[in-house]
Amino acid sequence: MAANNPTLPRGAGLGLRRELLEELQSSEQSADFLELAPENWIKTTAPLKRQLAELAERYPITCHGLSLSLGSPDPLDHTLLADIAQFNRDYRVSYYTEHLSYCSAGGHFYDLAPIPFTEEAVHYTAARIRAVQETLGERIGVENISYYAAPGQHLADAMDEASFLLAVTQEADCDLLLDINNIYVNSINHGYDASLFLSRLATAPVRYLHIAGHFDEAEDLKIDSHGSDVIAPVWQLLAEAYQQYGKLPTLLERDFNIPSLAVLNRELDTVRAYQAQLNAPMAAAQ
Amino acid sequence: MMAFQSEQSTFVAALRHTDAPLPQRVSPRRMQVYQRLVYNNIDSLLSRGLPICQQLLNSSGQWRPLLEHFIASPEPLHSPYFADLSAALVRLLAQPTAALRALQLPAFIAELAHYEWLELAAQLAPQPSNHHWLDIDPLSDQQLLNSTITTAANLQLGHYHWPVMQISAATSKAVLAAGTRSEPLTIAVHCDATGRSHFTALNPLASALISQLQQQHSLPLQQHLQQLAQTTATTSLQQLLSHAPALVRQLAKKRLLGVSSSNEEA
Repeated sequence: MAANNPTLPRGAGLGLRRELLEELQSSEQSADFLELAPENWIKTTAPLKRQLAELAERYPITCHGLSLSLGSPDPLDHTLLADIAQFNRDYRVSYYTEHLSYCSAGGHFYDLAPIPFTEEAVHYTAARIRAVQETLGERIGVENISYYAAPGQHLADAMDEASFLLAVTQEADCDLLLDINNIYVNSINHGYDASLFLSRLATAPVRYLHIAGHFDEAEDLKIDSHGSDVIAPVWQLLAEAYQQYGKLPTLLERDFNIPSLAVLNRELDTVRAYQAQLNAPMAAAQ
Repeated sequence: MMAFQSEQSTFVAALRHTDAPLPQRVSPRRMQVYQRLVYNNIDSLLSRGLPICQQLLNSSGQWRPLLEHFIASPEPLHSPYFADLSAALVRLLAQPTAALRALQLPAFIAELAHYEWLELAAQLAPQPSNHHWLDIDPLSDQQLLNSTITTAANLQLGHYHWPVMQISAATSKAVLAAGTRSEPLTIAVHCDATGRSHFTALNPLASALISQLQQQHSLPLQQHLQQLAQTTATTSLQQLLSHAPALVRQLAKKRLLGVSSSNEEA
């Protein structure tokens, strides 16, 4: 049974953080939609829930889960899944995505670990994604994470990351949430060509993008911190993604060193400018 | 277990224990990135829930060993919600293992952590916006004894032997030197409709009454007092009946409890 295909918002969205609540409430609509982590808002104080409800009246909401632990050896958390389903109904969430990752194994460690890229892991994870889609009654997106180590590459059924992303999304019949900054960070950390990687995913079911800044720990090590401005090579990669997939809704993530809304709005405008370039003659001629 | 899962278990063990063996083809430097990310993330989440414990143990150099122990003991970390992380550390501290005792944390730390968590628990509990309490002033003492009293929906009680309200990095040594209180301390925390927390120190009778009210919701006050008289050997029913109305009025003024409107005919 094919899961319901959700209708996505358009344009440039902003990751919703508590720190931004008041500014968002008191200012004109800036982002085209807001994305939030349901795990941060399902269990929160009543005043914060009220503020969220007010914003959900003004903005389309998308959800980007953190704790479902799709690749975990632990059983799928059906209680969390039921909470998320309820949350999605309460706030009329238009699209739900999760990380193609795991954050628990015999208990949570509250961070995103890389699933070994292997054939067995594809089958295992895809089956769990199917179960999630079945419960939520809709197609979801899974995100390419940034990773700093690739465990399991010595295993007999190991594959590269792009093959893994393609295989999981195909077998699970789900979308790929493509995080452009993660492609860039991973390309440095694992020494591959970001543009080439992107072109290998040309046939992937991509409908929604993430973009963010990162932290330069060293020449050969970038950390996906969401704590600084988006850098030029990542903007360039975003432009390439638009060329490849068309004008997709794109979410700006900013989780640390959160600047004023005015600064974030300028980055959202940059996203829109890249989206508008696609309407320019050169792109239209394709 | 599938081959990739065995890799996962090695990876997660290395992520939780800095001295565990590394997964194949993963360099120490890259594993350290994960160890640091996990530590910093949990550290930052706990700074919201347990700021006094964090500051106090940081100043004595005991926070990092405690957190490393916490991360290496996955047992209490069942919840997918970040807001539950403080509760997990509170549980860990409440049942110290030999390894935890070896850290020689201050004797009051479990109670201090519980006290800090109590506020979070009140804030996360359902809010009292649907409370319909009657005006208590026009009621006679006899009417009050016949009424149903309900506590604030999010009210939390904590029972302590240490003067938890006074503990900080600055006072910690003096508190330890002075030792535990001669009689236990009960603190009630509740949140008002705007989300603000209110702390109230309770005397033993107020504490016993509120505990009793929280256990059974629909009895008239008088029956609660009868049950209390049976369970507390020190206070007679006669004493309870004469003291309770004034106490209830006093607690109602602080919005810890009120006269339920569902029992108007009483």
